[in-house]
Amino acid sequence: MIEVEGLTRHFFSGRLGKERVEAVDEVSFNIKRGETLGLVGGSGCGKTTLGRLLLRLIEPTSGRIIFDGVDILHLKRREMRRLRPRMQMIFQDPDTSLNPRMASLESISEPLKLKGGLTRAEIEDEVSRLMEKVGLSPEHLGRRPHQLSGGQNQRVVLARVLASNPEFIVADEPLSALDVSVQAQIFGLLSEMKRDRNITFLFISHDLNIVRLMSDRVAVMDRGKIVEVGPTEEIFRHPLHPRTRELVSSASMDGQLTLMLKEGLISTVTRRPRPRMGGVCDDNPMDSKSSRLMINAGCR
Amino acid sequence: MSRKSAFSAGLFILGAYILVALLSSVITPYSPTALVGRPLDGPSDTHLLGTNDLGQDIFSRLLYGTRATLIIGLLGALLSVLVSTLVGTVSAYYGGGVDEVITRSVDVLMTLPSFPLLLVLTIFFAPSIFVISGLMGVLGGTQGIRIIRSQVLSLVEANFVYGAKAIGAGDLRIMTRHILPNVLPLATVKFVFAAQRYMLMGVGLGFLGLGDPSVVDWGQMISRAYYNGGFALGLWWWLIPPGIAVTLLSVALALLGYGLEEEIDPRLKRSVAI
Ligand SMILES: Nc1ncnc2c1ncn2[C@@H]1O[C@H](COP(=O)(O)OP(=O)(O)OP(=O)(O)O)[C@@H](O)[C@H]1O
Ligand SMILES: [Mg+2]
Repeated sequence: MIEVEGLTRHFFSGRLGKERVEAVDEVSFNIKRGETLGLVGGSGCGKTTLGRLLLRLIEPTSGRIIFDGVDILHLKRREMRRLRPRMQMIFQDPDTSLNPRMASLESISEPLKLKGGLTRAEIEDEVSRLMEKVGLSPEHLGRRPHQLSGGQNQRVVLARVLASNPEFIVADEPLSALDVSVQAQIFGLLSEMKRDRNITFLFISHDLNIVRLMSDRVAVMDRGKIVEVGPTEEIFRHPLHPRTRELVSSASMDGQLTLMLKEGLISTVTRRPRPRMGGVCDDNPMDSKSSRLMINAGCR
Repeated sequence: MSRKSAFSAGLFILGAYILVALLSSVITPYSPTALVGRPLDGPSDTHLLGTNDLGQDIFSRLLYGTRATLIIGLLGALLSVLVSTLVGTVSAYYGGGVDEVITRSVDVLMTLPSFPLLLVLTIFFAPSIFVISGLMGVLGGTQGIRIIRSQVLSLVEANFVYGAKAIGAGDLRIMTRHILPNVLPLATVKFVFAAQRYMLMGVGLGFLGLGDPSVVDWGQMISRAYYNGGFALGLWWWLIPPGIAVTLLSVALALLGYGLEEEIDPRLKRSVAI
């Protein structure tokens, strides 16, 4: 699905733009269709930059990116624009992922409008279908990002991303900015997308436990380079690179979310979710302490 | 005073000025340019603020003068905000060579003293209020380019703009739908403060004898009163009212601008700070 070869991106910073940061340095890997590659690494090692490069949201200094057999770095602007909806990104911070001046309805319908050929009614139908899918109710349609919680915003982001009907998604720490209870719900939605739509993922996280649950293979990044790639369990059981060992040993398996996932949510991931009555998942942070209650209650 | 009440007060006063400008001919029976009485009459029932050295009704001139001042201020400000928003956005969004050329040009223009430049250009182009507003708009606009440009530079790096690019939105759509609405609050505040500055500059030009001779304006009124005996004879009703009119309008715009500053969405600041 996606093949990357020698991908490099330098930034110039400092007072005179003289200091060179090799944010992504000679990175090569591939992801098969339907596969999820986890990407782990410390803060500032270049994960977000790599994600943006894959979608050509920023231009690389050098390297090759083949998406579904197409060398996307050699596409003309128009051809690239036509291909863009097939690859999407979920950004690190849900509060800044949506235009603050746009209501949810507008944000979610924008990709549908760009696709063209749909009537107003068809767009509205599709938007409400997507909203329901991600657990939002019609009352959220007219709200702007600052009128929604972080978790609700992340749901709007998911609906907007799904509206493009992507085959490949870069999920850049999609859970890190959220409450534990909301993390579990969003995690459930992502797993559902992976399973039901066979979407290929690059799943970026510094929480190894989540990566372990989500990924088929894991790549470890350190200072701009990928230092180790392998099947998830291999990486966790027999880490080879010192950086990988460090990361694996520092990941405590008794994290709150991991516990919750083990106890309850893994089953909701493999089971079809119950139809929701109100359709709204409450993002009340008060629930985050009582994980058991939250999982049993699920979406009210 | 809270920002909300400052905003309301400013809006109220500005509204009153606009009303006066539109309804001058209804409020006063005298043409501002007609010779309707004896020269230098004091305030009376027929001439509320008396007459000037030519026998023109001062109250009428005061009311009609609102038009020229408002037009110069608002038109100049509109032009300057349009110029700075358009150029600043394009410059920051495309970056590279375009940005380089624009930034350098602005740097050069910024070194020129704008009021003297305005004086020279006004004389050169013949002083009509539209020429004056146009010049102010363009000269003032170049100063605003930097501010808008830096705001857009941070917006371009915002996640939601990357997101818009990712769904296949074109440059025009990204600029008009995603960037511009987020620059608008800042542009509005700039507009109000620019309007205030240009009105004062317009009155200043009038006072210096560089105003549009075909219109009645407060600057020319003050100048006439000052040089033709109003000051020497202590005829306060001739000298003071236009001064008060300018000051009050300027205060109203300051209040409006102060009230609006809050409207620069705090959420926007957060999204821009990444
Ligand atoms: N636009 C930019 N200009 C200059 N330097 C940049 C830019 N974007 C990223 N960098 C630098 O590149 C490096 C990698 O940044 P990146 O955001 O990709 O890291 P990350 O792994 O996503 O970090 P985190 O875990 O904190 O999200 C950092 O040193 C960062 O300072
Ligand atoms: Mg990052």
